[in-house]
Amino acid sequence: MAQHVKQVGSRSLPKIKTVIIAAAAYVIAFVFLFPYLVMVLTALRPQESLRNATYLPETFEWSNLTGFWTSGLADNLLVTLKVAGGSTILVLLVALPAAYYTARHNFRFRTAFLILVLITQMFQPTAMIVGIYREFYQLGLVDTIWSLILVNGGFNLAFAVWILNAYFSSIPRELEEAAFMDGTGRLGALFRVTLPLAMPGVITALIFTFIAAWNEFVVALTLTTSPENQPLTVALNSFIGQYQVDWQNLFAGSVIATIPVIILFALIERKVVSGLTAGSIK
Amino acid sequence: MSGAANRRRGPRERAGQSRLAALMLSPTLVVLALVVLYPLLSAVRESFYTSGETLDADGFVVEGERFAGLANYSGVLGERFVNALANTTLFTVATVSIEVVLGVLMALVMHRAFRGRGFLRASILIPWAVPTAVSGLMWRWIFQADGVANTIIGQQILWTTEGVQAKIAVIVADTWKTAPFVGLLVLAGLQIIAGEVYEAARVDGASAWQTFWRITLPLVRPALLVAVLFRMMDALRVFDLPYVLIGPRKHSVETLSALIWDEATRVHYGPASAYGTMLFLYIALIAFVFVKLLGADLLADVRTRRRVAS
Repeated sequence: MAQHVKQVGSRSLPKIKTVIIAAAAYVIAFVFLFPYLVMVLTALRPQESLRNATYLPETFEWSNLTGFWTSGLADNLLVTLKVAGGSTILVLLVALPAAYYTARHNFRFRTAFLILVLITQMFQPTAMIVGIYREFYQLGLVDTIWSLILVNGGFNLAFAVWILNAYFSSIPRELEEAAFMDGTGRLGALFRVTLPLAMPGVITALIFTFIAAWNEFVVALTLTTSPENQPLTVALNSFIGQYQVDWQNLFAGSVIATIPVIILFALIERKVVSGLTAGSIK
Repeated sequence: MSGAANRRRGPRERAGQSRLAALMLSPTLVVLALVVLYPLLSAVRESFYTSGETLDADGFVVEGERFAGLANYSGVLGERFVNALANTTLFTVATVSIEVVLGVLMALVMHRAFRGRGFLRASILIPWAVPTAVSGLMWRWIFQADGVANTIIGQQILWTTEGVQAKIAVIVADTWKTAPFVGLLVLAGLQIIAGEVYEAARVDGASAWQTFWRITLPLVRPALLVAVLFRMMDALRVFDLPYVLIGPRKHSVETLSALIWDEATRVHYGPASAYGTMLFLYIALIAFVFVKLLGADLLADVRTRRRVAS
């Protein structure tokens, strides 16, 4: 890549600069990844060597990770999966039609609708936790996954509507019209032309919602009362504050709670960067 | 274009259009009404009411409610609220400013081409994707009395006890988690600056420092402002990190969100709602001032975007 930067006469200079920048980047990356290294190593550390916190463990205790599945935490992982999956489905079902319609039709309340949706993004659950709790108490949904799915879906809706709206707007209407002329029908044109083209946006919205719901903490902390209904984030923290903290099992659970998000995030990372860039070019 | 199309269409077709609009938009409106609007109104209403002291078997208030005026808001002048307000403000100012500086630096580095850039860019963004509840636990381990942090700096600091050091621990952990996100947003801004601009600056003999202050920073400003706005909104309602890292009901790191949550779990619904309303007002005020002071840039961005889109 260095050859793109080179200039006749100063051939060696950019190279040194590139090396320095690359070195700086690796140092930054190490600083940011170091705590994870600590976490993963602790998760795999045998109980007796726990206190030598700064050294590499001599043996890895893989049973710490497998122990997770026999502990009650596997149920909590299932709750997390259901909540994150449910919220994602809810958001897509609700946001897709709204985003598509606002992108394709210039109706009177279009801007008002989009702004209204955006404003809801300003309110986060903590400040109105009393209202949320009381509502779901009246609905009989406290301590169920349904309340978590609804709240997580609701609070991630704004982002999904906006990003999907942006993607649909960027797809030329003419493509859809052409398919319609070819006799696919309105819905056919939508499903065969527009939706596949908007897929990057759909996937981004999907993964963002999934990660946000997966990571959510305070609503789950408030709305779930029985241990088996708590998602992983809350269940892991209930380990803390008891007499002895079982760090290995805690971190084994943490590693398992983290891996899916990292994989999903790796899938969209490039799209996030390019999506944001595309957004600012327009 | 569809404005013109609408005018050409007959009234019947327009009625069909409104029915379609209702069909497509109402699910969003229903969910938002259920999850955001109703709880919001109910919380604001609650902040003006007081409920009887009696609790039923499940710990819920059974007495009728009475209008209480501003009685629930009296705690706003109390030490605990003021402390929570100060903590929230301190965390917001400290984390957002450190994150902006680090984020810009990281973006400048990530913007350069070198071997393994893609991998590095992805890896430093991982902290942002990880659940805060998990990274909080991780930092709690690092900040233990005999933990990694003390070993590295060779001190014996009790990070997770009450005091200034707990505030520092929270700021460090938050910065670590979110600076990459700011870096990502700034990077997106950097990538749209045309190479010709730098070329011109180089031809004119501008130093690297001048190029940064006169070209990069002004051009990346809109992206940076958006990042700062979003980060501030987030930082003002921080809850999980102090809760997990230091613990609930710790005076030195209690934020407004934590105070609200604590009052709510003690079934002090009135004060909890009053504080919640104050938090809304505080966030709205900060957002308003921010947009008022720097809004020209934000809006200019939105306007040009809309022009291209229509």
